[in-house]
Amino acid sequence: MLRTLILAILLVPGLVLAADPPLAGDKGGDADLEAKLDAARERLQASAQEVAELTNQLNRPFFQKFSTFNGPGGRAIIGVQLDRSGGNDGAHVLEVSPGGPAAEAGVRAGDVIVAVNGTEVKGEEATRQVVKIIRAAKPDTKLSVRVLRDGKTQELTVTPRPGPGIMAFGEGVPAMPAMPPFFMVQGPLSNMELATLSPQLGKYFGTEKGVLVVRAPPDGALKLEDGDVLLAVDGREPKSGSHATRILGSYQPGEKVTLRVMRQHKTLDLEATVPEPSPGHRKDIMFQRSPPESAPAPGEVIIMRRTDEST
Amino acid sequence: MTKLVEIEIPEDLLRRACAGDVAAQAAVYTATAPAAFALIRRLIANRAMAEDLFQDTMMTMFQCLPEFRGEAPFGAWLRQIAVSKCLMYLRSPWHRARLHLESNDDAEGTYGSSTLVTPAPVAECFDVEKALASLPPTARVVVWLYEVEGYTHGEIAGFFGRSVSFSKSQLARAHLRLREWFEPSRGEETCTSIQSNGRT
Amino acid sequence: MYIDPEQRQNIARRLRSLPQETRQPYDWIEFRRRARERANASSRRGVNGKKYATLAAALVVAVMGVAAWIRLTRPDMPMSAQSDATSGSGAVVIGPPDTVEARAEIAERWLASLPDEPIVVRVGTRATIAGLEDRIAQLDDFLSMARAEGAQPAKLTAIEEQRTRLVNSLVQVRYAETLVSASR
Repeated sequence: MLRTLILAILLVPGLVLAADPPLAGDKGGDADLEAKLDAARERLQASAQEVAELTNQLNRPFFQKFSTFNGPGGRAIIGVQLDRSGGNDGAHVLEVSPGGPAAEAGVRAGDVIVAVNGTEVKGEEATRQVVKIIRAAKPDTKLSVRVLRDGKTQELTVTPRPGPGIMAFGEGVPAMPAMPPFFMVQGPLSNMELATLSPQLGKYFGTEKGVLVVRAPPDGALKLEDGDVLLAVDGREPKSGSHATRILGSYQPGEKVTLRVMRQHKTLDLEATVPEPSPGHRKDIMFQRSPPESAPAPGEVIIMRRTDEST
Repeated sequence: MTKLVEIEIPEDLLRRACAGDVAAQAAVYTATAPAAFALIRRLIANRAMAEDLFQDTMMTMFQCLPEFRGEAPFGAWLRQIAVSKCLMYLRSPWHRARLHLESNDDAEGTYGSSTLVTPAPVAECFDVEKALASLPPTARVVVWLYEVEGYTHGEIAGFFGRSVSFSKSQLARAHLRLREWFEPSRGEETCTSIQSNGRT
Repeated sequence: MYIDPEQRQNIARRLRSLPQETRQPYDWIEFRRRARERANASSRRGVNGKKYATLAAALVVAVMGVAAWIRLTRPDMPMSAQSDATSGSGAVVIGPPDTVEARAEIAERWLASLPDEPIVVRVGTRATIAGLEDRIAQLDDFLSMARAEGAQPAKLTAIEEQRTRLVNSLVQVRYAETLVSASR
């Protein structure tokens, strides 16, 4: 099968970048991953409501500022936590959001931002100045950021990303952050597997750029086949499996999309429709209740379920 | 019988309620609860969930009372809260899935006494209630918000985070299914006139 | 899908003629009782929240082992010195982190040490990961804004806790994803 062949090539020793090996006895596996994904989405759901309540309790001006977002996609995100207290040499970075645009650009906790887009930020107003820029950021409009790290300056390029969006329903009602698109985590696309092309692999498939479809979605969703190399989605070029996931996630079920693929060394343009998450595709395991309460094993995390107050 | 959107609360009562006057708060609750619950029941078929969302709505109303500006009738402001709570719920698959309501919702969509809102149904109303309850949840919400509550397609699309054409197609779907229940031309009688006639 | 406008209006009229009021589900007293119940449940959650963050952060150390933790926090230390440290005979005192902040920092460093993604990614998994990352980024941006506006730190603690919990969810998912990927 093509998929087995692809996996064999991809996972040749030397190509695999493994993280620290798991401890003996930590079996992991698909079921564990699914359980963790389920728990993560529960957390996202619970936190959406909690964040809505929390931001509502803060002074009104904050709430207003937080909930005025640019358009349906929401405010662009940068993913950096600035510290108010700090020196006057710039805006101090307290935390960098994991996997966020700032992290991808190479910003690190402890950096001091000294200039953005050529304009220096200094003194007491430094943090405010940078926050102003964060607020005005537009998706994909690059920002050049100069940081001071260990006495040396570096120029980094941050590409803001569209935010997950806020569900704001008007005056007096707290805005709630949106969830990841349902049709991506459930439904035919959820089991699609992708891999970033390395130069080595690229030679095999006839292209250096693009994302390889290791396992295509079932039932011909998006008209993709195993072995296709995804070159562009409506002109947007995915740089990795994660990037491709984000691009696809920006669509609504039922929307039309043009996928440019390389199939057997030929470039094709596929006109497809983003699938709906139909009930038939629902994996029941995703909707099962959490495992029965038992004493957690040593090292096992205790997942806090949001207690439904009046059931 | 007052529509939620038309309910007015005297400014003085609101002020006292904000100040912590429990009697005033109780009065605000009593004045708005029937209409608020009726609306929520139209949008949410499951009774237990509707009660939950009603509780959410009324609590938010009190929490946000100091922010009410008085530019629109009080009921319109409360309606916005109720609609947003219901839609937050409907839009959240995790919530629905966890409570196993997706299948139940559809089951309750077909006639079941728990979905009826009217306390004492008369034949004509019975039909309309039954028809409405038979719609799939999204279509039912859209047709109610559009035809009865008077929201525009743009506003409804915004609630769902979808396009205007989504709202229009849901409305069309609802109308098609409702048409199956009714014949094209019937009398102009409304439920209330029939009810009052029936009481004699 | 053509629907006669007159039919449409007719249907609309019927819908509008339905009752707009119904018996309230319960009275004021009951409403107050339920509101109190919810407030109590919320505060219980608040108390447990901190405990949860601590426990979840401790997971990282528990799962990865103290040795891995040392490697992360002292990458320049030669292996022999590291084992000395665990046995307690080294000059530097190193122990498992005992604050929520320290543990959260470890979680984030571990995340940063991972490659961006496994060789082969499953779209459903990555969509959830993207959701977590974006939400964390949103909260970080918000905290920056709130602090710049002079919000009281105490008021932001709850949001910081939200962030910590989300980071821990992210750690768990990415760890599980890594295991699945490594087991192929």
